Formats: sequence, structure tokens, C-alpha cells
Amino acid sequence: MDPRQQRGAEARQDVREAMSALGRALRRVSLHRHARETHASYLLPALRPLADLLERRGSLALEVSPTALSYKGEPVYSEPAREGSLCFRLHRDGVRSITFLSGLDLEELVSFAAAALPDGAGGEDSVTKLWKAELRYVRVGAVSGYRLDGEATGEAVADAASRAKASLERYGEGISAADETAARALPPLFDGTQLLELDPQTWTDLARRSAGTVLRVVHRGAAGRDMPALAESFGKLLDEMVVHAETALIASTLSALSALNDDLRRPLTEVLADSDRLSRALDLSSNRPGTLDAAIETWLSLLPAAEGDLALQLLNQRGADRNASLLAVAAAARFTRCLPQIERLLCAGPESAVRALLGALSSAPESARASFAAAALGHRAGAVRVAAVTLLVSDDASALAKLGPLLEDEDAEVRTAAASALGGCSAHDEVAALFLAAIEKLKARDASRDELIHLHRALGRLGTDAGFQWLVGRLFAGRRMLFKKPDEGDQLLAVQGLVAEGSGRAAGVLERASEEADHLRVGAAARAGARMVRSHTPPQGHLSQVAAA
Amino acid sequence: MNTQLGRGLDATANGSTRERRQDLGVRALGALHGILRNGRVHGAANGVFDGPLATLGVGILELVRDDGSFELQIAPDALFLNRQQIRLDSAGNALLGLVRAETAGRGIHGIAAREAVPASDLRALVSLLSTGTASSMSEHGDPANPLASLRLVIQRAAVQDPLARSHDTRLTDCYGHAVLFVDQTLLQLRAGAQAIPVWAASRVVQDFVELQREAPLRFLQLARTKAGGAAYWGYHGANVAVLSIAFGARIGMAKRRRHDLGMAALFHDVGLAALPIDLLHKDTPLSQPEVAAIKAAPLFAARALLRERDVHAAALERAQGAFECHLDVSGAVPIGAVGRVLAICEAYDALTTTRPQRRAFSHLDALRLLRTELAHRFDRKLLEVFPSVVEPLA
Repeated sequence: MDPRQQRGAEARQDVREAMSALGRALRRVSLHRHARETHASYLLPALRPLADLLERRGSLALEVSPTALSYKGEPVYSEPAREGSLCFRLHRDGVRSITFLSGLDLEELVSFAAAALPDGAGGEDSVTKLWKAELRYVRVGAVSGYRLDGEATGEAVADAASRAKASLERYGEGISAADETAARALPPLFDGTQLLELDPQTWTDLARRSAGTVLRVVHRGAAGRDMPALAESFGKLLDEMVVHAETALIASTLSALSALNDDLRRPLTEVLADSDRLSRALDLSSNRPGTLDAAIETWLSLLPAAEGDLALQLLNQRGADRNASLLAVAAAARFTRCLPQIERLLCAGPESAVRALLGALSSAPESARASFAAAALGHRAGAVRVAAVTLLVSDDASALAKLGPLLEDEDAEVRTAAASALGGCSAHDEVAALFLAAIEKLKARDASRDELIHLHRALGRLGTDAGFQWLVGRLFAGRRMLFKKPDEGDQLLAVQGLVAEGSGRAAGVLERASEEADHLRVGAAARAGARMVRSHTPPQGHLSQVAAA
Repeated sequence: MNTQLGRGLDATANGSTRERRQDLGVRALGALHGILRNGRVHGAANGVFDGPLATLGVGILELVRDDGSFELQIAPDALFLNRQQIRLDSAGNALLGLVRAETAGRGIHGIAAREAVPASDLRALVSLLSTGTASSMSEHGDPANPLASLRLVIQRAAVQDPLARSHDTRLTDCYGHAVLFVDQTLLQLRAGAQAIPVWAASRVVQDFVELQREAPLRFLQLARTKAGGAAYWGYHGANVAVLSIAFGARIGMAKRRRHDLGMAALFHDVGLAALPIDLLHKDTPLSQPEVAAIKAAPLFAARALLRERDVHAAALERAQGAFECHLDVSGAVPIGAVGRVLAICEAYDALTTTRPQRRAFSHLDALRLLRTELAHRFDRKLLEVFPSVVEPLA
């Protein structure tokens, strides 16, 4: 190898090493595109070898092909030709050479990376971005010409250019180089403050106006067949608002969207049903508690009718989120379109999600509630089954069939909830019989007193004759048995039941018991109960109930 | 909204057309490569060409139907189909290199058609690509056996290095392209054809910004170039770009912001493509529905720009500027800086141009009108300084 070849090989090796470091840094930046604050630290290790090289050589000119940056025809940085690749994008946009100049610093390298690397979210072409970056130590060579030329268009350009030339000849004749220099040196007419006031260039303001324009175009019926494209733009705007954490802007945009009539806004609401988009908004809502609740509520209310399963899917994943109840409401409002999914979630979903959903389903029609409750009663968590009980309608025959067996459920809370629900039935002997049987079984099992109280109260609330007689019988039962004092506990439970009935006849019985009780505590309880019932029973009701009894 | 409005925009609304064009471009390149490869050993009538020719024929038919024309341009470094650059992977780029080398050697830089192409033309293309010579090539192919419908692009558009030309030549060339850009965009939107890609305008505006920086006074004189009739809109768009870039520079806006101004200026009247052409040239008083249609044009401008599905700041500024420059600053809709600057420049250029219903106002009369009768439309502070910006046009 002669000395010249030797020097050439060494130079190429230097360039390869510098570019290898730059390539590694650019890949890291590319991977963490949105973490702009980290770019400088990624690029710093690449700056030293590149700056040293530039100091020795003055400049470094690289050719751009779709798959590589090359130095004197030899690739020094390669990557596959993909849409997201640096070289592919630069080449596609018309960049054919990049020249780094001595003096390159970190700030400039960061700006270069920001302009040259694809950002995934679209954006201007790289020639424009590099041009706008106003780089001092990086020269970009792009394909020249405007590519508007063609057979007929060439003439049009020539015609306009000749008219412009005539204008310049006529009016520009007297303009000297000195005039131009003086014009270039004129100070700006606005100072920094005035310019900032005119043109704050805030993304928030731009996005607000743009979203408003999309809605205005749609509202005026001017979208035509561009509606899907406008809807996509609208969706992307929302994405950006979420990325920028513009909670107030999201809220106002959705509020404006909800003000459009149903037909006009439908295509735009479809973009709200993008699962990733909605998830990101929910994340933002969780990270900024309270700032996005109303917007999320609007967002979910605007979801198309067919998107109940989306709400369910998110609820399944985010049952413990602050927005779980809103997701549940959204799903419940669309339950007719996602019945199987709802039942599946009720049966086997996370406890918090199911409880939120059960709460939301309370406004569903009775017939649907019964089947939802049936599904939730199969859930393993007692708290879910308790919540499911509240969905069952006590007067309904099928509800009786469902709630009756629950009085014997292995979980005391479920039994109690079932008793409460059944207690809400209007007078129903069948239910009373169920209660009586349950009380007997519980007593036999030596169940907790709380549960017995609950059942007695439920029996009393039922207001049936059979129940009333049974309670009266318990209150006075011991008096007929060989002068043995009646069981104080049983009598107190009967007092609880009669107080719960709250009728005039119950008051009468309690008053009598207060005078005749064998146990002081029973007498005191009956007296207090009678007072309580009298004070809460309206006179007419009191009289009529007494009459009925 | 009048259903007659926006038919041109509707015709180009389908986003899938762009993907289809991409697909057809890749297929056409493959077909050309197949023809060139087999053309060395087989005669034009050989069945081996049936597949590639059918691919080309279908592509032509489809784009003539959808875009009104088919133009495959083999540029030195890229492939364009109806002005849309075709994205190629590394294999595609290699294929393009081979095709370009062969076709350029025969003086062919693309093929074009405005109607369905007969099979005889496609067969003749095989011969031209296999045996044609640059010296004998015309756009009709072999003069002895001319093509019926198919046309050859025989001379690549001259690509000049802008820096190699004089400042004035660059100014006028750039201005000419700006006029053409606006004209073609309106024309193609109106006809339902594919519009010129935005990046092409971006290059024009970049040059405008650079040229203004180099020689602000001569640059501003471009705004004196006027045209009437159907040509008005192209010149008006270019003039508004010139004025707004000069205005932006004088009030101290950064380079990138002046670029935003220029881009919005070029696009500010694209909404007119939605209106009937007769309405734009009407010289009698407008009826109520016609006034309503004209008022709807800014919304169509916003539609035409927002449908690009770009929501980066520059794209939004472009769309907002084009929309807002037609609104009153005192109205309910908030107007950004781009729209405020454009509104004044747009009105000034319109006033100083002869229109079907009136003669052009003089520079001074136009400024007086802006500051009196029309003042409510504009930003007060900008209006105050505007006369000093356009003083060189007095």
C-alpha cells in the first residue's frame, strides 16, 4: 500500500469510528424520541470523536442513500430501508448529502438529530425541518428544483416568471445594493414583547383553534367526503392534547363536540372509541386527579352505542381506577349491545370492576337486572354477591326464587343482604315463610345475633299477618309455658321485628308488652319501640293499619 | 350547506387513493423492469410481456378514471406517479436505478396518458423501451409509428441549481413556481385530481424566505406582478406570500415563522376550489346564496388542509392561517398571528388588483381603505405598521 492509499484508509477508519459513535447515539435518541431532555446526554459521547475529526479535517461530507450514510462511496452508517429509518427518510425527502463542519457543538448536534430523525407522529419533510433548524455547522444538500415542472406547467411558470421579471425591471431598477443593505439592517418594527403578544406561539392556543375549526367545518356541513380524514385529524389532535396534558383543552373540546347534534358528530365520536387513545386519557386522568373527570365523563358519554364492550374491556383492566365508575356507567348505558360481555365480567371479573358495574347497572330495566344479578351471584367474592343482591327486585317472582336460596348462603353478609332485599317486598306470605324457616335454621345453627336481628327486622318490615303473629307469639310465648320465664333474647328479637314493622298494631303490641314483660330489659325495649313507632307512624296510616289488623 | 359546493374536494377525499397510487407506482416500476429485462431477448409480441403490460394498462385505466390522468415520472432519484412520490424500499430503489439507467439511455423519462391506452400502444412501448434511441424519440414515440394515446416524457424537467443563477432569476423563477403552485392546486382540487404535495410548496417558500433575506426590497417588488381573469388566483396567492413574508421579517418574526406565513399564504384561497368557477368571475352583484357560498370558502380551505391528517404545528398553522385570514379580527372566532398578518396582506393585494367588478386601487387608496372602512377586520397594531412595510411599493 503506497502512502497515499495508507492515508486514505486511515481517514476512512477515522470517519467510520466517528460515525459509528454517532450512529449509536442517534439510535438511542430515536428510541427515546419523546424524552427530549435526554438527547443531549445520548449525543455527548458521539460529539467528541466527531468534533476531533472535524477539527483535523475541517469538514466531513457524507452522501445519503436509502440505507446508508457513505463517505467517499463507502458506507459508514447503515440501517435497513424502513419508514422510520434516518437514511430512508432523509433520502425519501430529497436529502442527498450532509456535511458536518468544524465547530459543531452539542447544541447543534441535538438540533440536527431533532430535525433529521423521524418522529413517528408525522410532521414536515426533513428538508424543511433541517432548513428551519438554521444549523450553522451542518450543511444539507437536497435535490434541487420544485418538481412542479411538466409539459404545460413549464409554460405557466415561464409566463408568471416573465411577468415578475417585468415588475422587477420596472420597479426594481432604482434599487441599489446599498439600498438593500440598508433595508436588511432596519430594526424590527416590533420589539420582543410586542411580538410575543402578537404571536405567543403556544401549542395550546393553536390546538384549541384547530379543534374549533374542525368542529366548525363539521357543524356547517362542509366536511363532505373528507369527514373520515377530518375525524382522523380530530383524533390526532386529541392525542396531542393528552400528550401535552392539556386537561382543560380536552374538556372544552369534548364539551364543544357534545354540543353538535348527534348526526353531525357521530363520525367524530368514533375516534373517541380508539382504545389506546381512551386509555391514554384515562392514564392522564389518574395522574392528574380531578382535572379530567368531567372530560372523561363527556368522552365516555359520547362513545358510540356499540362501544359498550370497549368500556367493559377498560373497566376490566382498570377496576381500581378513579374513573372505574364512569367506565361502568358507560358500559351500563350500552348494555343492550354487550350483554354477554357484561355477564362474563360480572361472573368472573375483578371485584372492584364488578362492584362498579353492579352499581351502574342499578338503573337498568328490572328484567335485565335480574339476569345481571344472577351472573354476579356466581362470583367468588362475597362482596360482589352482596352487591348483586341489591340488583334483584324483591317483588318479582323470579327475584324470590333467586333471593330465597340466598338466605341459606354460606356467607353471612350475603344472607343478610338477601334478607334486607326480601324485606322490602310488600306483604308476602311466601317471603314470610322463607324468613321463618331461615330463622329456625339459624337458631339451630347457633348463628350470630346480628344476623338474627337482621332477619327479624326484615320479617317485621315485610308487614305480613303471618309474620306479625309469629313475632307476637315470640314476644308472649313463654307466658303460656308452665310459668317459666320466656327467653329474653327471643323477646328482644321480636321487639326488633315489631319496631321494624312500624305499624299501629305493632305499637299496640309493644305497649302491651312494655307493661306485661317479665324481663325488665324487654319491657324497656318494648316501651322505647312503641314510642318510636308512634312517633313515626302517621295517624291515618296508624288507624287504617290498626283496622286492617 | 349547498350540496353543489365542494364537489371537487369530495372527489379527492378518499384517502385510499393515495395508498392505491403508491401501490400502482410500485407495480408499474416492476412492470417496466420486467419489460426492460425481457426486451433484450424477446420480441415485442412475445407472451412474456402480457403480464407487465396488463399491469401497466390497469394502472393507467385506474388513475385516468380517478385522477383524470396517468403520469409516471422517472426522476434522477425518485419515482413519481401523478406527482406523488412513490416510497420504495431498498430493493425498489435498486430496481429504480436499473430502470432509470435503461430508460434514460433511450431518452425516456416517464410515460403519461389522459385516456385508456390501446393494447397496440402498450406493445409499441415494449419496442421503444427495447430498441428505441434517444435521438429518434419524441413524445409520441417513434415518429414513423406514433403512439395513439400513450405519451412519453422525453425530456426530464430541467433541474437547476438555484444558487447557480442570478438573484433576479431565482426571484422570478421562484415566483413563477409559486403562482403555478396555487393555480395547479386550485385546478386539481376543482377537477378532483391529486393535488401537488405540500412539500413542493415548502421548497418554494423556503426559497422565498431566503430571497427576502438577501434582497428585501427587490423581493417586495414581486408583489406588483398582477394578473386578472382566471389567472388572478395564482398571482394573488404568490403576492400574499411575498407580502406576508416581508411583513413577518419587518416585525421580527423568526425564519420558521415566516415560512409558516408563506405556506398559509399560498394555501389561503384553496377553499375557492369548492365554489363554481362562474361565481368567482361574476361582475354583477351577488345573490344571497352566492354570498353564503363565498363566505363558506374559508371553511373549505380549512377542510382541504386538515384532511391531510397532519396535526404538527406547521400544518395546523397552515390550515388555521388559511381559514382565519378571511375572518374579522373583532369576530367571535379567535385569530392567530398568521391569520392576522395574512388578512392585511390579502386585502392589500386584492385592493391593488383589478377585479371583475372594479378597477385596482392605488397603493395609497388601498392603505386608506384598510385603515378606515375595513379597519374593523384587522389587528390594529399590525395595521399601524403595515404602511411602512409596503412603503417600497408606493
